Amino acid sequence: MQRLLGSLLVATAALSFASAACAESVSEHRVKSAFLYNFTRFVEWPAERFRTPEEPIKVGVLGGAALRASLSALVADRRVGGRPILVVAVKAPAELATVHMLFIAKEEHDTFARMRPELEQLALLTVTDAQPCRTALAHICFVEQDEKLRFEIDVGAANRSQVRISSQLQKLAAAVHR
Amino acid sequence: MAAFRDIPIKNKLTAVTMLTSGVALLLACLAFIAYEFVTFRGVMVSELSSTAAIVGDNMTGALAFNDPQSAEQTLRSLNLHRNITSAAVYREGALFASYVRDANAAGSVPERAKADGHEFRDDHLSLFRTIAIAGEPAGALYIQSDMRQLQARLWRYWLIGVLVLVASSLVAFLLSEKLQTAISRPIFDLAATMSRVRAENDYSIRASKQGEDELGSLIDGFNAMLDQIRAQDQALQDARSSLEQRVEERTRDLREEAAEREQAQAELERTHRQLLETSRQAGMAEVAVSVLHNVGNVLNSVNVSVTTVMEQVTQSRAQNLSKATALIQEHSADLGSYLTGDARGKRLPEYLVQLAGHLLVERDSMLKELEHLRSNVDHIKEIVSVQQSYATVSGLKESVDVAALIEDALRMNSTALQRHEVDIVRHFQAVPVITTEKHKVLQILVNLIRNAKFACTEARREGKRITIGISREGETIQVSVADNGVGIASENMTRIFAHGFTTRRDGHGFGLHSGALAARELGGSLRAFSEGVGCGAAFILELPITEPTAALPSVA
Repeated sequence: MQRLLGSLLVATAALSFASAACAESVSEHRVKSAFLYNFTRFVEWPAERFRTPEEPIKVGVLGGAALRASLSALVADRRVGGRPILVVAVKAPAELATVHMLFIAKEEHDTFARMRPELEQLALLTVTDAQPCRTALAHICFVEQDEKLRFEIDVGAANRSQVRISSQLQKLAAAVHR
Repeated sequence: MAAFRDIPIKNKLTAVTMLTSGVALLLACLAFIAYEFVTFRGVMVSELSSTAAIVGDNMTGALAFNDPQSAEQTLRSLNLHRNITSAAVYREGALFASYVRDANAAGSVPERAKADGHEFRDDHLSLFRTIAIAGEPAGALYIQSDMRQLQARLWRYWLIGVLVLVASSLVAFLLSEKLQTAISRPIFDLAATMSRVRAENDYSIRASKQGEDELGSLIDGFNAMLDQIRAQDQALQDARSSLEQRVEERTRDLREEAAEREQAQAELERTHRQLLETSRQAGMAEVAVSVLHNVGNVLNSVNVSVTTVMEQVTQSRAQNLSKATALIQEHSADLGSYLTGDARGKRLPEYLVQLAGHLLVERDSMLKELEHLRSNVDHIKEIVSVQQSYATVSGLKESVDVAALIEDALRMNSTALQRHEVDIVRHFQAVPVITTEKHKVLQILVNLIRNAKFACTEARREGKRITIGISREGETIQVSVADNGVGIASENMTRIFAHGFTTRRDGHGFGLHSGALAARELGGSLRAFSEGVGCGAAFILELPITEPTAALPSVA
């Protein structure tokens, strides 16, 4: 398990985003999946978001079926803080009440923009790969820097959503907004 | 240690106090430092652990996102901890990022991760710790610290210890200087009092007591001792004054005693002289008894001879001759016819012839008996004449042939010796004539031979023998009288010369005693030898050849 995770991470680290502008490749999905998985490890949700200690962390994916499949495969038998990870496809805002982290694919940005007002009251971490990051208005957004995939964090927004992002994650961020 | 014994008690007390407190403090310091050493290692481990925990937590992002640069940056923050010499992060057990404070010591971090735990080695503490992300292990952290902190701390403790030791010793010294007077002062006082007593020779001085402790009782004891000495002094003086008086008394007593002893001595000498005289007389009596005994024996024979002759005379046939002559006288008228015609007359001549034969036999027998008688009488004459020759005045010295004297002594005992069939063996060497009191020597010899004879007869054995020897030993003549009789028991050897000692039923225990005395008087000696009961005995009479120079023999 550890070994598998390790080899995957090593593999993702070895990858570069030489063709970032091109259509998303399989490996790009895998790297983003690894990032998404790692985000769950450095984020704390309010206790009331979980009913039991074993309740899975629910990761919702809006659009990006390929990435969802990749993430599902990655987290299949992993646990974070004793909880399994559950990847679900999201279409309507009503489905978001039980989701802890939401990934919004580029193409679903408009959909998300419509949903956003309803999400204000939810302790929900939002991640998007829409560009530019700031206008996307998600808590975390992927950016490409020196041909490497990195991310920016809007800690202020996250705090308002009652989601605590570990300083370790902030340390690794390309930029931290407050 | 001898040096310690000789230093004043004040210094001794101080030294003891200082040493005791110093050792106690030193032990306390040592214990404290040892405790610190042990506990501080624990403290070091826990401090390093918490540092590792913090560093590990800061490493999670770098590990999760596989960012060695970030990890190294995090590790570099350790340069704030001056005791940390090196650190490293491992992912999947392999080295991920490392930090070494001193670049010269590069490569000092392990290549592979190890199990969690710490280790002290080569003046370093090293520690492995698993890094977990959200409860899941994600890597390991290695961190190594030097012991400079511990050493610095220990040095500090040593310094503090030494300072405390010095300071407390100083305080202890000052305190003991003050407090020890409680013990040393009374001792000083006592010593001073003692010196005064000795110097002034005044036993009325008393030491003053300051407390009821052991020193108090010591001072009491000292004072009591002084009392005793004083009392004894007094008693001694009294005794001295009374001693002179007692010496005087004693001297008087002694003088009286000496006078008494002198008197006793004189008495003793007189008694001794009497005794000597008595013994001399007794010696003469001995010879006389011997003579009478021998004469008595011979008289027996004389008596027998006389009786025999008397009987023969009484039963003599001489009266038959008178009967025959009467018959012849009766028939003198017709003697011829009577001798031829008468029956009785015819046998008469034959009878006369027979009678004459008988008478001749009788005469011969009586002559023999008379001859015997005469020889006995001669013997008596001889004995008496021998006795007469010795019955002279004592103290007369003359030349004596010892061999002849022995023969005389033997002759005096000859009858008894013959009767008991005792052989006499002579071993006479030719010796010069000696000058001595003849009768005393004879007394001794007679007595010795008689004793030897008694010893032989008492032994009841065959071949009774007395061996008599004469020999010369330098300026003395030795006469030995040895027998093969009963011998002398060893316990009696020392007593046989004592006055009144005898083993014989009818003995008076005087012979040997007077013999020994006489031998001494003559300047010689009489000694006895015996191998024990049944082994015979030998007596050796030693006499000087020349007249002894000492006029009077000393008497023990």
